[in-house]
Amino acid sequence: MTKLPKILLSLFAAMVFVQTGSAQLGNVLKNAQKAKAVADNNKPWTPEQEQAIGQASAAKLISVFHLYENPDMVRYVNLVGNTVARQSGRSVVYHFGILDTDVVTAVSLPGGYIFITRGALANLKNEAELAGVLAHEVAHIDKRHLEREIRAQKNADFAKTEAASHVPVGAELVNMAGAVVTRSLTMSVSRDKESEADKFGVEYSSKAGYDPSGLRNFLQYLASIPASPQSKQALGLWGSTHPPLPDRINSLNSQLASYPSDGQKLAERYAWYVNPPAFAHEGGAASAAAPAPAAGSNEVDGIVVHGVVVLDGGKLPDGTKVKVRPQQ
Amino acid sequence: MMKGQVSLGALLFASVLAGSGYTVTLGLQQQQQGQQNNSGPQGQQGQQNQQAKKSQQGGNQQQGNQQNNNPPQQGNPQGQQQNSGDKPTPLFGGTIGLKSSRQTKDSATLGFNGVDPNGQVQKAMLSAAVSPADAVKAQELAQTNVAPADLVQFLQDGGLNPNAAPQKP
Repeated sequence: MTKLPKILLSLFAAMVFVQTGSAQLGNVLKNAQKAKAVADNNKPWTPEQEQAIGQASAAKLISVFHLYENPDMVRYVNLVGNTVARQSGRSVVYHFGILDTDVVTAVSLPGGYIFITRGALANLKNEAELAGVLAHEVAHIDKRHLEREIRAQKNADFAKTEAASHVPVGAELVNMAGAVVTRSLTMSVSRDKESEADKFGVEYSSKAGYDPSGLRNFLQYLASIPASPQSKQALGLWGSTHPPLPDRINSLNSQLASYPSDGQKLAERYAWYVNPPAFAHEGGAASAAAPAPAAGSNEVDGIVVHGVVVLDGGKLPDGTKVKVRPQQ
Repeated sequence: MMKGQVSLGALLFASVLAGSGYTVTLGLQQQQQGQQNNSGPQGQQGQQNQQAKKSQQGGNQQQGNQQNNNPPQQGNPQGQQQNSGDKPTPLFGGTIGLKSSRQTKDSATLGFNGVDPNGQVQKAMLSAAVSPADAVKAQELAQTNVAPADLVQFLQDGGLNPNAAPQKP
């Protein structure tokens, strides 16, 4: 009878010990899982992971802006893009698409997916500028900039460790793609990564044989655009996802001093494939700023400059208004 | 019991309808892809045919220049004479229809898709689900690539560097 309390006490002590031990063991296992997640997140994505996440992100981006499906123009952008991409270091198959929006921007996603907008194409002056913009995006992918930021984010948030070491599928892939696209469209990658992309973009363009000042020239053009509701809408995304233009231009000026300036600009070839004035108008870029064209109109009369119609209230630099001629 | 059977029947019917719709969408996509593939692998020759077609469509707006049938080539004296300076010359008269044999006005939208008046991406667009059609387009994009021979010709025409940098995985 006197032994019973002792036995009960021993049992209680044993239970407490086991519970404490199991809680400690649980903590140890949890910490080990966290450590593994951090280690996994520090590893670059495998080509399979990168491709799956990239393609799902591309679908997400397409759902936001839609694709501009002009086979000849898409082919041209792919030729220019691959020309600079083959000067980069990492073996990635690149796919270039055109987004159907007047917004002026370019976006890179993991897995070699790069998009330039119809609005950006309407505002570029020559192939060297297009090459410069695409080379900047290639550098983002080559250096895994977005991927590294996503992985850092995942390390900061241990709840999201799903895609650490396997190819994501289903809802996990959808969530991952959503995170990638949201990040690429709403946040700027760090300034040092942008500078790195500018630096390597210039290098790829130059090595490809283009005038290396293409990107700088395009940024200068964007910086020269006067403020207006149209320019705010066209350039808002660019401004919120990239460092200030003057900083980048200054940095590029310093870099360009050490590059030869005899590369190809290929303005005629760019005009041949893209024909910015007509392209801008038909795609709506001009009509977004110009007086509303009559129904059925799709022809611009007398426009000989690129892009200005998009961003300057439907007027050319000399004040001439855009004329719209009804379709014959 | 009867009500349950009716609900089940309605569900089945709805599923069949949804399945048919998706099949139609896919069929259209594949048809479009097929049309694109008809031009893609033909390479330069195919492109020239398209360009010739465009020239015919251009008619009176092309100023009668034969050079419009091919992209300008760097180091082509004739081309240089006809296109002096750095200023982009619209070689096609002004309608996008002349630049694209397949692009129709209906397939290009007017304006600032996807962003609000401040130029920021609309949150509703970011949270919306991807449609099967957009997933198919991304899949098609994943298969987009340039033929090596086309790239070589493109580099040569532009006077660009034919040598690629050594690449690592």
